Amino acid sequence: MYNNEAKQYLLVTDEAIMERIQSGEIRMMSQLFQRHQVSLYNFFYHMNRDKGLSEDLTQNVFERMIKYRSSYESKVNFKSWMFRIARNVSNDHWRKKKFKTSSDIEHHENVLHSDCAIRRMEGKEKWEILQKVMHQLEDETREIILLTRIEKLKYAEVAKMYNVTEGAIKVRVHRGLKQLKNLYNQSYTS
Amino acid sequence: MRSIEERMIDYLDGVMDGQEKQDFELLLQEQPALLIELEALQNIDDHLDCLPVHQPSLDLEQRFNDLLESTIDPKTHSSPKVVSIGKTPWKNIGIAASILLCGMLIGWFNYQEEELPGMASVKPDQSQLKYVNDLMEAASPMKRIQGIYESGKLSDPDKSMIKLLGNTLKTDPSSNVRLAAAKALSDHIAHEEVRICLVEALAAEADASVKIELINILSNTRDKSIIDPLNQVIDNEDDLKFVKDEAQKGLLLINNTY
Repeated sequence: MYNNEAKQYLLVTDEAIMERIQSGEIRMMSQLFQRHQVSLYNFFYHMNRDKGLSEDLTQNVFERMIKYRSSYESKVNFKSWMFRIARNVSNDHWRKKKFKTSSDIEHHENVLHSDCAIRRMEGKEKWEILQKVMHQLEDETREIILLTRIEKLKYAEVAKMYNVTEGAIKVRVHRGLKQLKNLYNQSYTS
Repeated sequence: MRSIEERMIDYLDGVMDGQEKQDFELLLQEQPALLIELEALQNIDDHLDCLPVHQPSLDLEQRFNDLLESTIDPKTHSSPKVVSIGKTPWKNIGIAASILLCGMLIGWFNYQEEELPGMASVKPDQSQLKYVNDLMEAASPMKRIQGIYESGKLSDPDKSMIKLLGNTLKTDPSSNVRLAAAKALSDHIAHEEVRICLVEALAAEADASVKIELINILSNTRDKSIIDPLNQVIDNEDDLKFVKDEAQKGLLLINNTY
């Protein structure tokens, strides 16, 4: 049987927790942290393949969520709001940096090789290839694939983030998946 | 008229209804190339579901807790103290080294706790251990999490520290603290005592989030001895479906290894 704390944790929605945070119970943010830190971290990690940077950006998202908590509208899906902030955090980071330097790329390559060696030993080449080819997609395409296929955000919510129609997002998901499949097949056969 | 690409995604997501679905399936029959494309999309989409989930370090949680504390109480919250070396660093370094040496000597003579097999022989000094101990026994869950985080900084935590972490994992009333203890113990997973402790905690844990963390830590060991505890989770009527799913994934991971 679950204790009261566990039941409470499982039953309360993110949106309800946000309302409590807005009414002054800021400590409740730790519940949202426990629920979403891993998915946010993975979103950033799949975008930049840099563990330290992904943790920094995840921390920045929670910092902004605390800072701008009053701007959250209870009718909006929390996860959608959170990932909109995540996109802004990521865009701001790369805008400040202007472009990805060669050292970033080298770092990504290092991560990739060290992961690769381990994963090959574990018989997980397929996952590793998929992670690698994911990175060959354009940033925005990869972002849309992650938000819709991994984070399962609704197309309408993602469409709002990009100021396009729901149909346009579906077309981009289709093209992104198709491109991913082609890249995957090329890498796997080679 | 919606594009074929939109319709393919709707079909893939299973959100097409009645007539539209029938029309689309008819189109697939008429155009085999579309069916091949759809199968390819389905295949890569299935692969995406299997992407490994990467775990952030405990440092992220500590930084978040610091951020939260400073937001809640900016006046009393103090950031970690930074001791300045000043203009005569060698003198200060010498004093610090002497203190450290004295501490190590006192510790070497007085500290009689048995070490875990395989652990390095150099132990953290008593003041470090006491600091971590005090934090982990504090009334505030945030302090206890800080204590767990500090324990991770000890270069060679001994058996008593491992026991303390294990005890925290099994008995702390806060699920956030138990979660932090589980993550800290995962750094010492190579030791059989730690694995036993995590298995015992898995059997007793009621919180779904902590349970999932324990399942992930134990599954990643690929140790066959984890199979039985994972099966117990799957058979336990009280466990929720998504917890059982994690246990099932763990079993697949271990079985694929052998």
